[in-house]
Amino acid sequence: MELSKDITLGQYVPRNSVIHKLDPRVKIILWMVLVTALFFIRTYTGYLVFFLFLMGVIHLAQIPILYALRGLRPALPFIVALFIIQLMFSGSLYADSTNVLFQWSFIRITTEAVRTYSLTICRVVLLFFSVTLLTLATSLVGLTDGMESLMSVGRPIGVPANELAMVMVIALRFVPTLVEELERIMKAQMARGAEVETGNFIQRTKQRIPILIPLLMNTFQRAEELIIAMEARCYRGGKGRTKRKTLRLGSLDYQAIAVTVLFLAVLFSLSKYVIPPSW
Amino acid sequence: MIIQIENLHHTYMEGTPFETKVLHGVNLEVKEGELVAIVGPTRSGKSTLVQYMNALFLPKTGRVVVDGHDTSKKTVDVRKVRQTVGLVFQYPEHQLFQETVGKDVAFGPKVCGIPQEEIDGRVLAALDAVGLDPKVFKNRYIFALSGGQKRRAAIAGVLALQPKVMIFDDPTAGLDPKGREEILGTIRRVHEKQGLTVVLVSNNLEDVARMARRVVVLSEGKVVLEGSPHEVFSQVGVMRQIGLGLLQTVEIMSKLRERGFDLPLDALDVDETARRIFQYKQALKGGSSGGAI
Repeated sequence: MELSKDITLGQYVPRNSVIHKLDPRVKIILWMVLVTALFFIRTYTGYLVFFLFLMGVIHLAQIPILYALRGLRPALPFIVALFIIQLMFSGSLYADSTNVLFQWSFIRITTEAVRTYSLTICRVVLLFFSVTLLTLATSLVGLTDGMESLMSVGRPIGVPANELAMVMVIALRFVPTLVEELERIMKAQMARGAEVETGNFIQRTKQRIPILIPLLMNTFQRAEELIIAMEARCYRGGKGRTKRKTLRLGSLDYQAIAVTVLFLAVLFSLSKYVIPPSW
Repeated sequence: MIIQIENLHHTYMEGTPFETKVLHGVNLEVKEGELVAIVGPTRSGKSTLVQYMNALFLPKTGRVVVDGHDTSKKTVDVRKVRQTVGLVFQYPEHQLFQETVGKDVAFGPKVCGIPQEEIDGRVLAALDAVGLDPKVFKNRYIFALSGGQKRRAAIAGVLALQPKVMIFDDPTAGLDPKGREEILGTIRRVHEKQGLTVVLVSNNLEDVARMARRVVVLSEGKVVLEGSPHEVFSQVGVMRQIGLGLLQTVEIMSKLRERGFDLPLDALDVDETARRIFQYKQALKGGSSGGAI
């Protein structure tokens, strides 16, 4: 068994691509704009176009598309479960709107509900891809610098930019480490005869205990070690700290902004014709 | 032959940009009742290899047969294999999760469906085997143990499954000399008294020279040397080339050889080395003038 194979969140694939070279601030802002746009798309075509755009960016970043897709695998059961539950129990909300596909006691599935929740799932999946894409093609240092620089706008009103950026980056950085740790503990317990992922819900929950407790304890210990390491290096937040590399916008960044704006314009002009009258 | 590995390949993170080949066609046999050591520099594939020995990894190419169970077959009962081969991971104390030592040691037998009366006996025997007095330690809190004691408690947790083979992956990592002696003593005891087959994975050549009858050297996912400690550790060229270095006593002898003294390279401990040098000196005196050592 090898868990780390399927976790793409928080991983960074070092390449020398145009996407990697972009200013991290530009990447973060464009990413936020794209994610916001995602919430305004209301058609399958819109999502398809958006998906193709993301794939294009992944290709430009020289990241194998299959690898980027792979990260979705562990999340898939949750997404499917979410979809089914939504579908079954919220049909009544659309009682008046359209034809009922299936009805049994309180469960009622309507075409409208199918449509709404399919689109929601598209949104969740694409949201996930966008996050993965950002971390796969931006180094940790870049991500910190970018976030810090963007957040320092709020410094006059007391936003602790450096500290917040540090918190976010540590959280992201430790995803792969914790996955590795989780895998090790799972294997150690399996070697002792423990079963994972068998039996009913209660049995499964019980099986988690021998894995979660050591994971939690080790994580606390790691956190403590990290604190000591930071203090030993005299970390005191961003106060008085200078940068070796100052961020500066280049022509590549302006091109990226232009391309994204163009893409969004096309996307929304396109969907204007696709949005059904009911919307 | 209790474990038989044929032409085993392994690729880590297959199908991702981080893909690395770890094992390239490993062939290895472990005989029943022996104490064999697997040594190799970091990233040579040792830890991956031992995970094949108890079916945590199942072979895609090649074959691993453990006590008659072929783990490359779909029908293999992995729990049987894991009960036959106990694997103690690196830093095994990280797997402890119950509040008391006794409960944690009982975890393995319990999930394997052993009846309660028998579990109690197994817990006592396992604690005894690792040198933790059951009367004192059975009800002690895990948090109250020292690092070395935690590790021995974790080893007891694997021993309580009563496997035929015990694999120890770098069991002395991060311990002080006293803790190290205790762990090595435990390993020797389970091997000699209980007759268990032991596979010892280690980077510490001194430990291996003292413990093992047979040594397998792994480098870049391949077996490069195999034989008795005398045969393996005297291969100065290979050992240096793969970055494993030499046993301290062999190092001394090889340095002396470089200066023109015709000494043997297969002395494994300090006493043997001193004796060889003494004999050599005697022989020189017996001859004519000779160099001074």
